[in-house]
Amino acid sequence: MTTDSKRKGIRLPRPLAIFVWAYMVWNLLPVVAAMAFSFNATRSRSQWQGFSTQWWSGTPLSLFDNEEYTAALKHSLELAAMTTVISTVLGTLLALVVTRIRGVAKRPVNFILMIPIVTPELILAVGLYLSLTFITVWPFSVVELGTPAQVVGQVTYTVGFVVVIIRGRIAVLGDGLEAAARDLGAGPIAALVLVLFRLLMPAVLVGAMISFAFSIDNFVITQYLSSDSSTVSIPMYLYTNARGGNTTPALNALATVLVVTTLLAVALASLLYRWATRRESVASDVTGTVALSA
Amino acid sequence: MVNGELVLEGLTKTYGDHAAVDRLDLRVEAGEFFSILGPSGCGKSTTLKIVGGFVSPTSGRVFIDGNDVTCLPPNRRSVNTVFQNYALFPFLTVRQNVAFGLRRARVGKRELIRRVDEVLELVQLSTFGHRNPSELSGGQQQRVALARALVLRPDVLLLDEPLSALDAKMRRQLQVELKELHREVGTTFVYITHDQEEAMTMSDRIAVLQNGRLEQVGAPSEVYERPQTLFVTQFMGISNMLHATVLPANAGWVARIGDAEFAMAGSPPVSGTVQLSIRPERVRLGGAGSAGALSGVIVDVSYVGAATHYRVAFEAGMTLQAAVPNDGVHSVRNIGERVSVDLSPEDFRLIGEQQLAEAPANDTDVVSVG
Ligand SMILES: Nc1ncnc2c1ncn2[C@@H]1O[C@H](COP(=O)(O)OP(=O)(O)OP(=O)(O)O)[C@@H](O)[C@H]1O
Ligand SMILES: [Mg+2]
Repeated sequence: MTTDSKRKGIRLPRPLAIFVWAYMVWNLLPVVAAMAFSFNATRSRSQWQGFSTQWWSGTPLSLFDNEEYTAALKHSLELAAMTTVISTVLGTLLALVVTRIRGVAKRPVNFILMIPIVTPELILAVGLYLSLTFITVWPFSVVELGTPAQVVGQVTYTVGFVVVIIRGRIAVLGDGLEAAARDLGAGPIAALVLVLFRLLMPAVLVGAMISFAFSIDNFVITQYLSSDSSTVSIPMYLYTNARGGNTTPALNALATVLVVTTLLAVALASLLYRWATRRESVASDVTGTVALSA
Repeated sequence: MVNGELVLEGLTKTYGDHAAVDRLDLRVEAGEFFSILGPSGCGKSTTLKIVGGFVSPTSGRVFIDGNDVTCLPPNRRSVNTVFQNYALFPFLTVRQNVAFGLRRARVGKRELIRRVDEVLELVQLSTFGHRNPSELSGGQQQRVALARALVLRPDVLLLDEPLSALDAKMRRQLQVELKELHREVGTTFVYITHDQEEAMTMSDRIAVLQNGRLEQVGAPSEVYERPQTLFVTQFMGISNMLHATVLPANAGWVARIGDAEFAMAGSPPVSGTVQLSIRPERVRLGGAGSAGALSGVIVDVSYVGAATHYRVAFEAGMTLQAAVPNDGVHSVRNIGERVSVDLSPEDFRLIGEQQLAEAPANDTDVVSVG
């Protein structure tokens, strides 16, 4: 219904329409161009000289055959996998606990949860770096720079988003269905598992995908908390090499992987959310969009 | 024997310093269709939640068949609830929704299927078992919620305004169905509504609540015809409120309203003036100048289908509302017409004297409410 009414809405004045279209093109152009040059037939990253897949695979310099690239790819995927799992589990549990907090603690808890989200990423990264390097007290002492610190850093950031998304969902669901389950004879645990978790699934999936997309894309935290060349992620590799003269369209291929995985994760989140909530009423459709735009 | 006697003893629930339920004492007989009636915010839902086990009372006890269940969690009470918004599980089909409680009770597969079939038939949804709740109309969803609760054969079934989300026609249909269902299953129904007509048509007995307190409990005719408090009188429908002066008499007493005097039965009230109520349908209109009656002018006419409501103004600023059936016998009257108003003393209800204090003190003469 909403789309219908939007379609029937006021027609944009022509100059405004042109402006909107120009903006769209401007948005897409650099990304599409960067992706296209990964299929260039020569080493040039600015002049189109025919189609080939050599920068993707087949030669020692191709994305999938060169140790440097594959190491970055592998490391990024590892980080993303760990971050996704940990922040989804932690975020879900936190959201469940936080929504049950009543009374004076409620406000401070909400505020503290928001800190990682509102703090500039750079500050968070530096703060984490300093804590993990110089504080010799547990738990700071056990987290070493490199993969463990990178995962900790990324989770610190993403878990806040997961909490926000899942809390939104819990707020919309209310406690009616859980109460109904209790009324029908389910114990507290059964009601949680059979009803609440089942209902939270869509939001959990969205949280997971958002964490994944964030992790894959993340540069600042990952860079600050890295140790040596074995902990270089795709964005870090791109940052260090993209402006160098000695690069090939394989770098464009690497960037393409980044863009495509991120887009896929976000698209998947949106599709899964719709699929998992398809039997719910219109009201939760709205929350779906809200959760996704959060 | 029939199970399902519900007793509330001194039930109180306070939120901050506000009492949502205030020292409520109630006894609901086994198998009764019992309604709790009251305006929004009077504590109906809170009462039901306490009985269902979702809210623990600040003080007071809940007994079911003599057992104190006050501290039992919802899943250990032989009570089921039909929630106002149905609360059907969206990820389960109609059958799965209905089977949910049976599964929790670990009922054997064969019996489960039998009982689900049975209850779906009872609510006329046999062919809808494989649908999702979202594919049902409001009324059908309502019946699923009912089936889901009834299949567990609770001793007491709680219904929180179960029809409030439905349109008028669907409501009436489900009112009839619910009543039949109640007769068939024989379970105690505790039914919440803020609609006095609904409460009257459906219930064996009605409890009227205001501000968390019990105002009156009794059969519909009792509550309607012999309201004990001003609040109940007004809440149970339009009623005319009259101030009368009490005069002594040989037998009974005399109520003086304006210029007219009415011989009342019973012992005279203690105070010098009392408040009397009379239902609009008991206010009879006669031609101009009939003897012994009050004489007034029609100031408002509203046609409501089965009856026409007239508002009659008298001298000294008093007005009365009269409901006259549109049965072809009674003539239709127009605004401005002079009529006589005939009131029988036996139709007057003396409003409990303690309630007089609550009545507005400034109207010295006669007040009409409606
Ligand atoms: N959780 C709560 N916290 C604070 N106050 C509450 C809470 N639940 C109910 N109340 C208050 O208690 C009073 C009774 O509420 P209740 O829901 O029982 O009313 P109700 O009779 O069911 O009304 P309605 O017909 O509108 O559903 C209201 O004034 C309400 O504001
Ligand atoms: Mg209510």
